[in-house]
Amino acid sequence: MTELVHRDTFGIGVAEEEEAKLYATFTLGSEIFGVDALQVQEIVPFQKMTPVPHSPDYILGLINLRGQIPTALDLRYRLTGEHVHISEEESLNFILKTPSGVCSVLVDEVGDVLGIGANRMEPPPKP
Amino acid sequence: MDFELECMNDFVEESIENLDELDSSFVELEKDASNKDELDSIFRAVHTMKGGARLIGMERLEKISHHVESLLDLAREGELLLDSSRITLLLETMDVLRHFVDEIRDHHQEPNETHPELIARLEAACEAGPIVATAPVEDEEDLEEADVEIQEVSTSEPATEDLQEEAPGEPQRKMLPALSMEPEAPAKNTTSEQQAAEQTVRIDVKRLDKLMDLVGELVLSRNQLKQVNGLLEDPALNNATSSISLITSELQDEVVKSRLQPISTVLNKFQRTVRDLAVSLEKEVGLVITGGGTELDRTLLEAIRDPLTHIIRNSVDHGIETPEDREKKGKKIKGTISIHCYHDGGQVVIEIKDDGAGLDHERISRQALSRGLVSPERLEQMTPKEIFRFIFHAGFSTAKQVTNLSGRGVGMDVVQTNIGAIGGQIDIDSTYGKGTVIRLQIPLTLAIIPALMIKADGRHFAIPQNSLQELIFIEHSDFDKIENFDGLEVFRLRGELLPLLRMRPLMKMQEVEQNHLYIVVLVCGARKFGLIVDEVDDTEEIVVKPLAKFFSECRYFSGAKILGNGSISLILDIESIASSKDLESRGEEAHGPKAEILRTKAANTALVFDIGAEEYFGVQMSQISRLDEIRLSDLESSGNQKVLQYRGGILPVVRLSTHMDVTENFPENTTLNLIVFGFAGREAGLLFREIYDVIELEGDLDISVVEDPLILGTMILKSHITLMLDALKLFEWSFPQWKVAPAHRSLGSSKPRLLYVDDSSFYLKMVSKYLQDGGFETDTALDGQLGLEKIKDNSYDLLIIDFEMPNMNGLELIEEVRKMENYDLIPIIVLTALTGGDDKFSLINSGIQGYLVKLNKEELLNEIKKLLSLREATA
Repeated sequence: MTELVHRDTFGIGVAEEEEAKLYATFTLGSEIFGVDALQVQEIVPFQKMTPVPHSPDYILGLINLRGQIPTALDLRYRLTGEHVHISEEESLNFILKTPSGVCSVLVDEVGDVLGIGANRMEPPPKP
Repeated sequence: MDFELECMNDFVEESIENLDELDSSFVELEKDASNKDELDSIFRAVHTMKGGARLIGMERLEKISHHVESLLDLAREGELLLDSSRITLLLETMDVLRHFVDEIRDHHQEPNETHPELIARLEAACEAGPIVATAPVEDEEDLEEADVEIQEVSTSEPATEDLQEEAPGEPQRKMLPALSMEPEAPAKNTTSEQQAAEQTVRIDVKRLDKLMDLVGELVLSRNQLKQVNGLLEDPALNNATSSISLITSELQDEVVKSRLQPISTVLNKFQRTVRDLAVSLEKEVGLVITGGGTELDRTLLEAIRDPLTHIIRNSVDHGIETPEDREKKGKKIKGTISIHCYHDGGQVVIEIKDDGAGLDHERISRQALSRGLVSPERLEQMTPKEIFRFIFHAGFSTAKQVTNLSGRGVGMDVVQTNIGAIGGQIDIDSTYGKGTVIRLQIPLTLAIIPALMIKADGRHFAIPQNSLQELIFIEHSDFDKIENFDGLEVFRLRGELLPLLRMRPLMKMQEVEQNHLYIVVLVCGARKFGLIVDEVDDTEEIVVKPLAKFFSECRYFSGAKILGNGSISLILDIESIASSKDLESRGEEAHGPKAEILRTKAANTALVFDIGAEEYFGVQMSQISRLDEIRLSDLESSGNQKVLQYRGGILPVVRLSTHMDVTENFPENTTLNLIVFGFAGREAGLLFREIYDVIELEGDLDISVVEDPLILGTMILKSHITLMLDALKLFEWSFPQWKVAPAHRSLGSSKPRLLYVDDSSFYLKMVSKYLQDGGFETDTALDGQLGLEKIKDNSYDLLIIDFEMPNMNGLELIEEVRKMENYDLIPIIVLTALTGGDDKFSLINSGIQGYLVKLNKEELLNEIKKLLSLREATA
């Protein structure tokens, strides 16, 4: 799975950070997430999805991206156990390059690209 | 390039890859000594390396590999455990092997080292129990060192990691050794100068792959452009679109072609292999290659190299006999192995044929039984071809002794695995004493395959054409032809039971009532099954896109494809579907004894066929032993009789035109069909053109029209006159010496006479009442012995027998009856109580016609009537 940084606020100034790493952010429901910007291949509008029978629950299906076939992942399900509501046109595909293949995360909105220094990082919240 | 040098470079390239993998495999194995798959793969890698070393004449390397192999073999057999000390030793040996390979790469010869101490330790390690280290006791440290080293090896190997990053969703690439080109680089340097003058450029296969991907995308973009063009109707755009369209197609062709190489690049090397092997075995073997110019995708060529090596070695080692044996058998002293390559239906076929000893299917059967691979009942029903397939099981070997060359039972399973991995198929046929043919069907390229598009629940799926056998359309009114058999649906396809799977539930889709459906008949190895789908579309050449790793657990798909309209369809993995639980567990039953009952019920069905005449002909299914395909040219003459060499014997073949006033029309040079009839232990064949249908006979036979004694009656099938043949009579006429005695007819009595044997007087009373109600004259007997006496003294038309009886049980009675001259063909119904278990089913093979559970009057009477009408018809 992609490395995820969980942030509740936007209160981070890029200029203050030394050796800041760039994170592309997006919102899913009321929360903001970030992923390593270098992993983002592109962001495309909602695409028709082809479900794959017998695939794990967190997989929504396959999309056709100019001949490439990325796997669309249900990030919300993976994180919260609730399925994402696919509202056409509104959702966006965050296309990510991962070691397991190119995949797409369906998000509500795309946010800014933020530079975050390692010293500002906190360990992920424990469930 | 120098031939030997080329071999050597290939060996080095392959061995380096193997060694890299071996290092990590050993470590994996150490973590989990019970990992059989890992052990098998290690064994194969070492086996391959040994073979390669032998091929290029590196004896010392071969010797060390052989010792490693022996040790691994013992571990594989479970005779000893590969504990840490042994793994350490093996890793040490790998280092020595690596050193050898490096030397071969740099100096084109192996170092002059024999490593006797290492070999001694390997030999010692083959003894059971923990080994006593001859080296200083530093086992643990050694091990740690080895561990570290391996980690270094695996992390400092950018080739595979790069590959994974760039092509993450392409698992099958990992199986194809050709893709990681990097390890080859040092070897290339030494030869690049000699090559400079050649008119060729070496291109990394990865680059070609990328090119291929891009062309694929270009094709899709072009399709979009065409759609837009269709909407706009602008002449200028139209021109541009058609030229782009043309160029794209040509480009696609060229890119595909750029990856093709003639098969001879692989095959020619076998000349040497065969000669060297033949010399060392003191045999005389020639290799003939035809069609070597047939081209195949480079990656596929690499992938078939090992399987072919195994097959050819086997042919030389086990197939071709020694010159003395050949002379004794009256064969040419020099054996011949011929390899023939050709295109066939979008595939490349490679046929490896030898004129050696052939496979002994009885010995294979025995092996399969003793290894518990098959039940005796199932084996009974298997055709020789199915039996031959056992040699593809891991560890299966019928070689009498393990030689340095083959016979360890590695080999054929590797062949199967490798060929399967590239979407190919393997087929084996053999005539004992005459030779063996192995046929490999290889797809032209991995990237583009022909496939049949089908639909279920409105979604498209692709089925690779290579597993497709036929399509059956079923109308709503014929839905009852799909029978439920103990939870498994089956379809009766020309007398065979075809297990069925429904696409919708398989794909977790909703089942709905439909007007019609299709059965797609698929073949996977020896297994045949039908897949029920909603609709069948066209066949297409499809560009396969592999699925991402996320889907590693849903095995039913081998990839995806993008349709013309941009949507995605999944490509079915027929092998996985064939081995899905439903078919796996129940499919076997479809061959089992219970299925026999179902078949028995088929006694009243008839096969309708065409001989090219105006009329159709039919024969009762129950009289047919087998259907087969032959060529007209296969027929030989023996006196006035046409005969066919068939399954190791001579089969007389009859043509209808010799006995009846009909004109046959058999086209030359095509395959014809043959019905093989079996009567009282004799077999004969009847030649026909095509199967028309299988129908149920339900009294709609008109017996008034035709007076020919060979015709039982006529009926109209789809406006064709269909003549039902009396096959028994046909053969009595053709072969008077075979005269089959008709069963006793009760003289002077118009009522058929039955005998019911049962030890329960209650049943005796009840059943005889039923039978009398049904208009039969009925005798009874209280046990088998008494029954037998009655049978001897009287004549009956049909016997009804209970299984469990004192003095002589049902089976013994049936056996006795079958031995009697006039009763060997009498219909027998076995009647039994429900409780009793499956053991009884095994008795069904004893030649009975019906098997009924006590007690349903209607069922019993119907069965009797059915069998008697059959009897009547043939008598």
